Amino acid sequence: MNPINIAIIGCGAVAERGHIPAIINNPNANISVLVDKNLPRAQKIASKFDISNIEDDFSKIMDDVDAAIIALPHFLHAPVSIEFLKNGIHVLIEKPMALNTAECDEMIRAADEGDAILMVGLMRRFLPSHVFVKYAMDKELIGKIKSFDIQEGNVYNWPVASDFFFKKDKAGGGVLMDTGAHTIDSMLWWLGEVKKFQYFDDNFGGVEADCHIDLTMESGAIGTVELSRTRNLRNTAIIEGEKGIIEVHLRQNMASIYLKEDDIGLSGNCYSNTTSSLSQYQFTDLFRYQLDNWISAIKREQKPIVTPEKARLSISFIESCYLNRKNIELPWLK
Amino acid sequence: MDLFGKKVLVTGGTGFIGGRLVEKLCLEHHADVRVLVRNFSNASRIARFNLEMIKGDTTVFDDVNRAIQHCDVVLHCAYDFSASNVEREKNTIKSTENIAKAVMRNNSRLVHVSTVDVYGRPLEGEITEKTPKNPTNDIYTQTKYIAEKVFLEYHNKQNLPVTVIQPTIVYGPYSRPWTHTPVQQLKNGRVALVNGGEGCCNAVYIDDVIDSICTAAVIDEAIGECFLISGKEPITWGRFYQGYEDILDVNSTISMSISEISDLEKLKITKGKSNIKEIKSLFLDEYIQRSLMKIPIVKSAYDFSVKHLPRPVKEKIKISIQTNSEKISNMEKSSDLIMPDENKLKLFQSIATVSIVKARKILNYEPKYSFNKGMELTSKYLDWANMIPSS
Repeated sequence: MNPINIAIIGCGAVAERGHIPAIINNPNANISVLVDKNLPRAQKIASKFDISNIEDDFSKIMDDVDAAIIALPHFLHAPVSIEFLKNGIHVLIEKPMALNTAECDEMIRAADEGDAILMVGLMRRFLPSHVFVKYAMDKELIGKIKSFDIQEGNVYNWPVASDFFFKKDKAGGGVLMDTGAHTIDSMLWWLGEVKKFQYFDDNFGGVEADCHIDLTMESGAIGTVELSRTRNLRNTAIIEGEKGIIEVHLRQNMASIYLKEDDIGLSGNCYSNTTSSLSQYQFTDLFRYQLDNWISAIKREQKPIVTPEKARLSISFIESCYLNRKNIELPWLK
Repeated sequence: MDLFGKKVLVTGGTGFIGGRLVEKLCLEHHADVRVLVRNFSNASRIARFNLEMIKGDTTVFDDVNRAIQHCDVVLHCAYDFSASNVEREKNTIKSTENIAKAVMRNNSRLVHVSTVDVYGRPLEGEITEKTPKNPTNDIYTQTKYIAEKVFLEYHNKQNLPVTVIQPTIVYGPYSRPWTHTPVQQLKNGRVALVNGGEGCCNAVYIDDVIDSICTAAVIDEAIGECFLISGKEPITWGRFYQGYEDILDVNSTISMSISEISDLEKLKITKGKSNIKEIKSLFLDEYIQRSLMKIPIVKSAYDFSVKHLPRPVKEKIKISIQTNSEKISNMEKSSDLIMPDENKLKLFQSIATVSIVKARKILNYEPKYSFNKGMELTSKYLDWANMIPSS
């Protein structure tokens, strides 16, 4: 079978650092064109990776590609991916999947209509440590879950080229929408549905930089999630069950498990036959696993791991957080 | 509040002073705020507000002019720490002239945030706005001095409506030089205090500085004037650092006399620049630290270097200072002693106080925060920011 011809829509940092290197190293995939409204930017990336075709308008390349990776400002995720999906072009959409569930539903319908594979770039689902936590929950390794404490944050340093990222209507939100797309996805994946919650953030008419959520899950477990763009937090999830505790790093392939009754624990890196066991955050590795899975799904060899229905769950929860927001207390504001 | 409903441009809004300024302008003054942003990566804190961000650089006249259009007031807090010394001086002059010209062209009004450092480092007496400006030769002070000079010349020759605010030691939430850095240092090592920290620390809590900037923007008598801004009461450096030691529950300062410090310095000069010292100074910067520590080999090298100073170096240090002071020898052996640089040495031994009489008179400036009150808020911030190790 010929390699899948992929268009990169949006040549920002995530395309440059993640998606493009992954495709270049995959014999089953080929970058046929880079699309960016900012042509000099597309040209710069094209030269860097020795790619010959660039374009400034995605509608011009519809007939020439099998699939598209879309890494645009958040508000364009739904409208642009719908155009591709309707035309039968497979889409890997960067996270967050869309601004709200209504958009998610339209995207799912468009994928059905075009019989195209839509997958969402929640690549932490490919982190062996995250897969291990899911396994531990399913097998009840630490018993019934009582509580959890999830913290993710660092002083923000991702290269942002424009102010879209900080506009509510274009980004859909702040740290909860951006970082939280991952964190909330993992939480729901591991711990199941939310029964009730209280959401607090520091948004005063822009997008939030810090937020805090108190939760009670359908399982009865209670917990908190804290996300930040202004503080360096622990960046782990601690999950406590009746029989033990698991702590997992949210950005690296590291996890610990401790079993109370036997007073014994284990800490280290997770792996499977197909994945790297490295502890450091292997950013490009994750894009590789994600791409492999998407291509196998396009070839109908494997099921996609991050289906739009799964990603919709976290968008739905984020949406209800924003609808029910309260002010977080900042200690220097009286 | 002073700037209610006014259209205000803030430069340097992604920094420490500018960040709190934007916060107060939005939450308390309900001003119509615009921020000139060079790098959006740093904009998280101000992006929480309903304001306008304009991408641009103060060294580009068109950017500045576009940003100032329709603004009643320009609050200039931007300062470029990143460029080389030559570039920094060039950029300062260019930025200053751009702002001066654009303020005049748009009939706006300007407050320039400078520093007490333009008066140099007198060892004693009282610093007032009449004290001759005598900047030390470090690049920060030099460029701040140049900016003031250019703005005041524009005022004298072309009636630029500018007011200069000269704050002292500004501490509080997000202060890198006087909150993050001391906390980091006290957590990671021992901080040498000159003569037991008896020098005078003219500390001022961030919110007092912000209030003075906002008032300076609306009082007509303030135009063409410079104002020193300091806190309610001068304290000693010992007390300043003690404030952080109390918050952290550590005892990490060590008193050293000038002669003890200069002996150690001489030793270092004979050794030339030490790689370890240079690396360690990098590591004390938390931002660099975080990035560097992600590189496994750097982390191992760091761990190794702090544990295993080469024996010849240790021995040499030991021999030269044993005659002087056993205490220092012990400290230096553990290789985690944080010594003041030349500039800080002068600052720490100075007993000069800063007068805020002029600001009181013309700006009706009255500091609201005693050191205790300022530290109480700072402590809450540090706790929230996850900077206090849990016991």
